[in-house]
Amino acid sequence: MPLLLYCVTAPHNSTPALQSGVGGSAVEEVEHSGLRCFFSRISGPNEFEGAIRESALQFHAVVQQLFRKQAVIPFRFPTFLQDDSELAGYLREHSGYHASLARLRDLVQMEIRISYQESATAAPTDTQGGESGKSGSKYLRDRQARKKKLESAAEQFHEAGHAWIGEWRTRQSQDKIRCFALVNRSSVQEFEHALANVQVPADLTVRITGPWPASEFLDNP
Amino acid sequence: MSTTANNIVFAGTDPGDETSLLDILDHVLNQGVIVRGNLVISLAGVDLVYVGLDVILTSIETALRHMGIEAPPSDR
Repeated sequence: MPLLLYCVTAPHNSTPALQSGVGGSAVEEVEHSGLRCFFSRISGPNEFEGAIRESALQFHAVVQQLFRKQAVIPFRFPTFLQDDSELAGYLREHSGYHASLARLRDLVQMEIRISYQESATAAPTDTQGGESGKSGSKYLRDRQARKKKLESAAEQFHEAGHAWIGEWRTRQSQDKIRCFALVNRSSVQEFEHALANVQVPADLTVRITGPWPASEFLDNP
Repeated sequence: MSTTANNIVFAGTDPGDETSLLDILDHVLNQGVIVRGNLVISLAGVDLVYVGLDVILTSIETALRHMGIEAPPSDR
């Protein structure tokens, strides 16, 4: 029966009593190559039919139970391997996770997502001037200005939280920038408090979420 | 969840409200390590044989849409 993988942790850590996993399945664990992996035996994603959201939340609940006590490397949902031997092979090939888990042991990932408010996302349009009457160059200037505004806001958050940030990464797409901060687990509240006072331009909205497992900061994901 | 006067929303990682739910689904579906290998799975009665996980994820998102669930935002 295929194995649905939840996450990898360091071995020998005390494990909380886990509730049931996806679809009420038992959560099992195995240690191999200096890693501990948590999984459930599930016949396949067809078990999720009609309940994908619930299954994803059950998956999240298992990972969160483990993450509250220790660093975890979560798998993307849904990740399946065929059987125990394939899992053993995977852990053997990824024994480098041990170093990542040691490095991230006391660290969590906070995410700052900065985007334009809905009322501000309409301009500039993608018509590049044709329908809106804007010239192509003005369209490009507007887009550049919007991009810079996002980057500037991101930098404000970076500066506001720098005392608590171990590493900082950003990913930008049109009208949105996602910032990832690596923060000590014990400093999350202070970090959030520092960021709460950042002045955000009226046409931007900011969501700060976490703590999450430090997926963005893995050495070799 | 709390909101400051500066258009800043703080959201935890518990599925206590719909907004946090989307954050959680976004992370569960779009973050985390990817295993590349040969997989034989079945989704909604359709067999997906020997496909990469990226293809599977696309299918999951499509399935979410078909079920009337808004897919979480993805940058990847």
